[in-house]
Amino acid sequence: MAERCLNLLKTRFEGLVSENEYKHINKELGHEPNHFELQLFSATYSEHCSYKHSKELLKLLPRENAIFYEENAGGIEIGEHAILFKMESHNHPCAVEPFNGAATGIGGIIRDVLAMNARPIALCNSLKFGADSKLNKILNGVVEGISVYGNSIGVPTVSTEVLFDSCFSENPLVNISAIGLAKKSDILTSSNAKKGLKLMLVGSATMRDGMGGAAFASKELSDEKAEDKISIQIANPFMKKKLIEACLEIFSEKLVVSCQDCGAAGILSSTSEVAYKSGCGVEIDLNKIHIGDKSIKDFEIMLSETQERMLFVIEESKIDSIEQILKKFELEYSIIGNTIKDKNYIVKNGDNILANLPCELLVNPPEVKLDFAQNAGGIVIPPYVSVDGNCPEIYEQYDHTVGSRTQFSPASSSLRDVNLQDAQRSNERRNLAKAEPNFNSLWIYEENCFLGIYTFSVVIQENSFKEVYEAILTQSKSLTDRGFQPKGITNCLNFANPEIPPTMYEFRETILAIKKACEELKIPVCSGNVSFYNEYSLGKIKNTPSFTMIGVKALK
Amino acid sequence: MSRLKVGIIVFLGTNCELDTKRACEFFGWDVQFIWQNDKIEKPYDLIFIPGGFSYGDHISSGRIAKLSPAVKSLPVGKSLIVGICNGFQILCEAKLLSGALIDNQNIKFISKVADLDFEGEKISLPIAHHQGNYFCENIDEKQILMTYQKNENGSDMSIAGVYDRQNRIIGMMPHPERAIYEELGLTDGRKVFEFVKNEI
Repeated sequence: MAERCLNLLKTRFEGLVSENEYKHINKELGHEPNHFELQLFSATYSEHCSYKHSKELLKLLPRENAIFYEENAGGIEIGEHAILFKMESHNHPCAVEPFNGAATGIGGIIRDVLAMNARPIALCNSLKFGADSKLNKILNGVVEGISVYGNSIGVPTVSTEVLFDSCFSENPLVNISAIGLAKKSDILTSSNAKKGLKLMLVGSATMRDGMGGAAFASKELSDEKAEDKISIQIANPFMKKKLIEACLEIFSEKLVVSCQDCGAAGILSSTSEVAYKSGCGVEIDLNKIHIGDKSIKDFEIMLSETQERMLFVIEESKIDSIEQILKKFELEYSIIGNTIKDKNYIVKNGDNILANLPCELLVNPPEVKLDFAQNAGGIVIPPYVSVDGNCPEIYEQYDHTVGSRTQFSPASSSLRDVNLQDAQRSNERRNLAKAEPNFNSLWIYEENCFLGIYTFSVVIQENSFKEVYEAILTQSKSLTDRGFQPKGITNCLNFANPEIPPTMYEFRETILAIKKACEELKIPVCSGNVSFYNEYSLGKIKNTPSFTMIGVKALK
Repeated sequence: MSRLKVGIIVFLGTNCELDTKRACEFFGWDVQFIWQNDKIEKPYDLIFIPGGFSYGDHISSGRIAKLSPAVKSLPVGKSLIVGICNGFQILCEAKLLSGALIDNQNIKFISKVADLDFEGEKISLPIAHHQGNYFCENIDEKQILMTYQKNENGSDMSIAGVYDRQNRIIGMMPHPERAIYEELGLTDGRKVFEFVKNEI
């Protein structure tokens, strides 16, 4: 009898949440969630949104001297300014649709920095592709995506790392970091909301693109790519450029109390995060949201990952002033709801209440059991082939110099040696560009200093702890050798399925290695991102943490 | 001597306006931004149309910007007009400069430091464009302002920058505004800015 009941129930939650999660929701709510509510949980409880396999271990990372590490992007202080930076993956989308996958990867990470009122001043990337014939299609698409999007929004791509290994042939890694510059006193957070404020959604009209992207990123890639395609967000760099300039103008006039970008699980995660972090609740009316596709369903509005949208929390009296600036930039907006005192997450459709959940329950899935076994699981790993990845023809497609801060650009080298003979100069340029395309140096003229930037990664072969630890120390030394004092690091941890050993074992070793190296170097981990489930039908990737490390050199 | 009055036109999608302003201010010039929808009424000594992706390069680069009130009210003959990169593309689209800028020969974005011949000198400036391949029929040699030492993008006669017939409008693909500061090691952009000032 009990079994029959459970089977009946299973049809309600299967494909949305796990049985354990379903029981937890029931217990905490004191009643069964409705189907719409379950759909919300399916996104917020996904690995992508909840970090359920990694959040306890991430607490071990050193944070001393980091600022805002619990926000959209963390950073370091330089005088009156802050450098806010973060790295993120967009691996799964790039496997299915390389161009849009890579472009929206930039779009997403730029919004994280922008949401804090920092002007994005640089992009870096770490790319891994297979060593076989598939390479060309995926590689060309990804590089073109980065080139078209990054160049259009006027943010230079300054540091690039490319590696080839056959373990990435079905599951490329596309890790992108953004670096933003903000005035310390003007930084916006997503945790500053209080009751009685308006929720303003700014930017693109919500469509069905990117539907369920958070859940998509939290599963292995199947061969049924046609089905996956709907999950890819569509890139619009022109819209993003307008959004950047409009946001910075609106923020500079102090019209916004709190801000959050719409990334994974779109409106749902942005509004629930603001409410939870700020310690208040929200009430959203789906009828008020500007929609670009009339056939869209209620839960799709909540979960859609339509690009180029931001959520502002504002005082009602500021609506007119914000509207004027949005008009200038030809951007749409809608007032989609308001903040409330009770810590509840309420979604309505006119007068009809669709969901009413405690914010805390919505954003915190129950603990999962972690398997730290060191022995390999069932997946057979094919022998992998690794190829050297130096590709000047890639770097030349990225605008390095827009912004007039960058010291090195492709086919250029130590440009300071302007007095050298022509021939010698161009030789030196070629050599340097070839040697270290993943290093660059940015002039922060506001604080009379240079920012040294290294982007690197570790494709773990055997000993995760040793390899990660040594790589961080080596790159730190490279910065020191160039006269930069290392100040902080961001990471993007690309791992296989956390439910199958030895992924969690290697993950824990990696975290411990980062902790040890950073503590020795006295630098904080300012921000980061975890990407699990980097697997495909025939195998899995070698676990690969990527990093962007920054250092500072004062100008005399 | 009074400060040079400079206007910089800004479109939706422009992304070099801050760099251009910073470079002008390096020379002590008085800079104002001109919004795409505003008619140009004030007297400027010099008007820049900066680089970027005006209107997202929709249809083709410069195709929509040429219809904007700012471009339609350009005081041709009164102010010296200088288009850089996307600005050059807009001026060609608006037929204020002859020729057209089409996709680079390799159909890819090219970002590098290019070596150029300019006013009898060899200089190096950053280039960053997808449509910088200059196509023209019977251009007067006097109208050629700068050429690539090694043809980077397939341009006719390796042309990187041109004048109009009256020498009152200039267009160039390289970015002199990104090559001003000793801190960044490349200062040849100063030569272009100083040259432009003397042309006023």
